[in-house]
Amino acid sequence: MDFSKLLFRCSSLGYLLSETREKSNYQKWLDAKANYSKLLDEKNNMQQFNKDGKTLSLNFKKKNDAVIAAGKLETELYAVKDEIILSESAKTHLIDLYVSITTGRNTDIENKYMRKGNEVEEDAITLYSRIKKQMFRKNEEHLKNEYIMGTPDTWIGESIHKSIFVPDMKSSWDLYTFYRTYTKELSKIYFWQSIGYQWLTGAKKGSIAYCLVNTPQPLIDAEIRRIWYKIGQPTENSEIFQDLVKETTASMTYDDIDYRKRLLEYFVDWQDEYADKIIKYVKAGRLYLAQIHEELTLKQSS
Amino acid sequence: MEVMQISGNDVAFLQEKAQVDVQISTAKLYPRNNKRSLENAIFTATIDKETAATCTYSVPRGGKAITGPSVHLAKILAQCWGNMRIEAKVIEVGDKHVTSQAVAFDLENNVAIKVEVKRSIMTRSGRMNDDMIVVTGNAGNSIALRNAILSVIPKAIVDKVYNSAKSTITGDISDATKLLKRRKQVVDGLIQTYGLTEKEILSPIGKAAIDHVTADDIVVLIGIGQAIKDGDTTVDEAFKGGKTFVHKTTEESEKERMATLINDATTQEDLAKLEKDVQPELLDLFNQKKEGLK
Repeated sequence: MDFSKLLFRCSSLGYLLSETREKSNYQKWLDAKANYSKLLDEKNNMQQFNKDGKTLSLNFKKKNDAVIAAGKLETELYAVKDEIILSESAKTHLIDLYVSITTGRNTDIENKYMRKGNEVEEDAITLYSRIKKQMFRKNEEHLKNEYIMGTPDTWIGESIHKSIFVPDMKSSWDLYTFYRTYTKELSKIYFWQSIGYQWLTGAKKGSIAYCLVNTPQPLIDAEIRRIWYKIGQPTENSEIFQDLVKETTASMTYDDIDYRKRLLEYFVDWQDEYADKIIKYVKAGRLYLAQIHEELTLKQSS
Repeated sequence: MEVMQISGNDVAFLQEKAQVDVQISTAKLYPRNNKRSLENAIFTATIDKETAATCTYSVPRGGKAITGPSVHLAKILAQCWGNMRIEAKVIEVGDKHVTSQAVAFDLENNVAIKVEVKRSIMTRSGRMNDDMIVVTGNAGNSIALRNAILSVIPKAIVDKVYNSAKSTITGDISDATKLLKRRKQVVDGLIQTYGLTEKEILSPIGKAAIDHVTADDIVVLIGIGQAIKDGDTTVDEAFKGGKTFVHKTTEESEKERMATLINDATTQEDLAKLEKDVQPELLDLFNQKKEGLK
């Protein structure tokens, strides 16, 4: 199986590029380089000989050995400084991806949050358009380059291929999850998704736009049914149940809230080095997939 | 000899009182054995799958399926609990509603609950005919009787019997294979009996795919089948009236979006930003707004 041309979804870049707990090879090399320079300086400023002026001092010898060892380490690390160390979450994601590719099974089992996101995509674009006082259209075109692929929600610019700005809509499940986003930093998953879309469209700026739009009635009904089971399947006349129905419906519809207060937007700026970083990680990801495949094939056939 | 004048009403009252007094005395003399009553109720309700299926009902209300213990289960409970006096009758036939009243009287504990239920007798074409009013009255009686009985018999007892019935309905679904088999049986049964599509069957339980149907959903679906048989609901109401996702085309969504943006515009400048994207069908609205903002 050939993974050398596999394209990664923009939504999965955040997993692939997630940081390792240990330092990257590049950082290790930088540290080793700094340490080597420091030891070298110390050595150069040391008294080289004993009082007799002929024999080398023991301290100088020790420092010299340390400099040689540090120089050796720096050279070794220099050779691998550009090698990517994949994090544990990246590896887990790649294994899931491997299973998905080789068995045709998908790990994205539908849940109510995803369902709402899909069902209200157009409503979220409408809300965004109203706030920006500008017509946004849903993009239907699937974009790809040699490394990544994705379908941005919408864009500003001449066309999706010549965008100047790519906002990505995220529909919050309810009021609480909407406001919780305000207190948190933008997740790395969404950050890299936006960067991926910017790379594909040529835009130099993007955003993650959290939108609070009404939950579709079938999802409200499903939520009411869940509550009904939870509180012991009361009769339809139960006052407690009726109150909960009212509360649930109110908590999932927001027409009473000014639409201008139903958007929280985080902007993400493009930097050219991001493309290099993605390329390195995509290559590392492809190699890892090939490695999993080789190892599993060996284990399963033996 | 003194002769007392007794009116017809008094006779009826005295007869009723004597009857109740005798029933209460008998109840006190032969009190129920709670454990045995419960066991008998469970035995009767779960004697076979068909009987168990009659013990639950599901009707769609406000886009969801309301499921609960049916009147059949209530009657089984009343019979096995014993020392009860239950009755239901239509007490009023109005212009738009019939009102049913039911009383469940626990003679041993001297607890009586009276429940009234109103049912509409209006159709799209006006008031129902007399036969249909009788049918509706009977349905109201059943509901009132069920609610009265279930209010008098302790909830703990009702729940135990109801849950046993539910387990019998679903059968053994202790593992995924068994659940899958039972799910298929129920869904295929509904497809064959009522000519429904898979999507229609999933609508009252709010599931997107058959794979997501749980044991509880199976009880709801069987309950709906029972409610249709009992006349509590119809196939259309249960499976075709539920709200489903309305999927608009991209074009429809864009037109709606543009109409909203035109209506939102408060300045000529706002409108000018939209002009290049206005769809031909919305040009009139756009021009009207433009005039209005001058």
